[in-house]
Amino acid sequence: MDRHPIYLVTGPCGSGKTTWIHQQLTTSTESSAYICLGADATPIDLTYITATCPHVKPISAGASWTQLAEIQPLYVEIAPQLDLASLQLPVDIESCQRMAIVPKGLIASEYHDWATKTLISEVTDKNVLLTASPRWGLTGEVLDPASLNVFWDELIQGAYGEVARAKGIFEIVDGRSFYFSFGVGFPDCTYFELPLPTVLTGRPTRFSGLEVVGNNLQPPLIMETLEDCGLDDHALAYYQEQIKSQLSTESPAEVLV
Amino acid sequence: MKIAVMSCIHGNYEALNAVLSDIDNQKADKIFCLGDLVGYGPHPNAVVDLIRSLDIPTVQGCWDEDIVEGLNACECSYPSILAEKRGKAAHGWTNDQIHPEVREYLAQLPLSLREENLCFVHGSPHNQHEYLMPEVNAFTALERVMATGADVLFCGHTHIPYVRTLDAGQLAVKVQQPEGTSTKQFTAPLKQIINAGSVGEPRHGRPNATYVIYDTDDKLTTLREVEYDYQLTCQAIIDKGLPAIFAWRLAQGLEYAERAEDPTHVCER
Repeated sequence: MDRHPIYLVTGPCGSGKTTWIHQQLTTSTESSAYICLGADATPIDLTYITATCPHVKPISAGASWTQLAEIQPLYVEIAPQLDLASLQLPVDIESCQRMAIVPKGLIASEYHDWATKTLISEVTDKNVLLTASPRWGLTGEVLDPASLNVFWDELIQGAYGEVARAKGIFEIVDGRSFYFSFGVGFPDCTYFELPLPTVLTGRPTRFSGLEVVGNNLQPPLIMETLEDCGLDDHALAYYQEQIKSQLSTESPAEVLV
Repeated sequence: MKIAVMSCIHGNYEALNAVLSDIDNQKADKIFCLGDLVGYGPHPNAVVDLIRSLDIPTVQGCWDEDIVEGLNACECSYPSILAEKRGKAAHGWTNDQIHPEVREYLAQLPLSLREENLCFVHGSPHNQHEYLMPEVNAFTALERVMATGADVLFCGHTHIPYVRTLDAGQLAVKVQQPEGTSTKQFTAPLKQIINAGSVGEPRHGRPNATYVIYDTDDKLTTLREVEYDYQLTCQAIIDKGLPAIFAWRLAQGLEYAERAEDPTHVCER
């Protein structure tokens, strides 16, 4: 039986690696697997892909690599901070399809040298050759949606430094989880609800977080503002009771309590 | 007579100076100010001192009231948790900075002023906190003007300048009584709402100050947009320890915080 390949996908920050993988996964319903190397504490991409592609088996970075041989095709996203030259995997790298997603205008790089196949994304090189991207884990934080909108607009318009790429998963007060994505060169700034159970009791334990790629970023100010968007326990309990009361008079929904 | 009407200076001394110079160039005969002299901006005392020194007739704005009375508005003031935290930070800073005589001056400001058929308020005739947005329904708009007995209502508070003419207003009142229903029709005379925008905290997408010139003879309104060195104000915001985001938002032509979402909400303080 033919075996599907293992795709090792690399490229600079904000070049569109996750976008490309997501496109491959959504055009097929066959069983697939995904892992993101280098994003252990803030698995934004893993959470996004798991939530939107139910047929994809997520593999956490700490999982046994023996799993890798079980489900293929396997997409391995390699974060830019990892050194490709010294990358070691428990699979034969030479037998994998090595993909580089690079921006327009970038004609030579370590990614070109390493990959067996190079794809040009829609973003331009001036937006992606940047310093390492700060990430924040926000698990347990529940945000006020109006505040989140203000923060996100400020973030992508440059209030906290020049942003080339930003993506985040945020929990809001009505129990829903949202994915936000912005990229210079990407068609639109998008946000949508992730198909996850609603959490209306206490703080959600599932992952939420933010990653920002850019220049002259002010990480402390970003974190401080995000904290100012959050609800304290008292306010959260108050709103959750109100929402549950409202929902009890409407059609039942899937509620995780 | 040519009058100049300005509003919402918010401690932005550089913007106020630029507007006063422009008013001078326009050769206005009289100046009115619609309040919110303080709040968010870095020079609350200097702004009040300048307004007082020029003896400009001024009404009390919502921020002026808050500095005198303390923060006790209902939730209308803050459309988000973030705006509330920023607003309270600005209030605390301003409250610490304000001189006693400035507070006394703000306390004695009237809620409205009249000049013949013109009325001057901060938000609406009913409340300094009420927003008369340009899209507010015609009945509400007409009611607010008619409540004053004036023909032209000048307001601010929204930080977006506009002129709204309410003409051919037909009002029908139906009265149901045991003996039958009666209907009365009224034709409202032409009324206008003129919003002066904001001198110190514009939200029209540019940092420039706005105000209006109104000619009482030909009843013409001119919306004025005045460039000034807003970077001086931005630097002062940072130097004086106000939240740096205020400087960024000012430079973008956004408000320091946000306006309330419900334009017809009346504060229940």
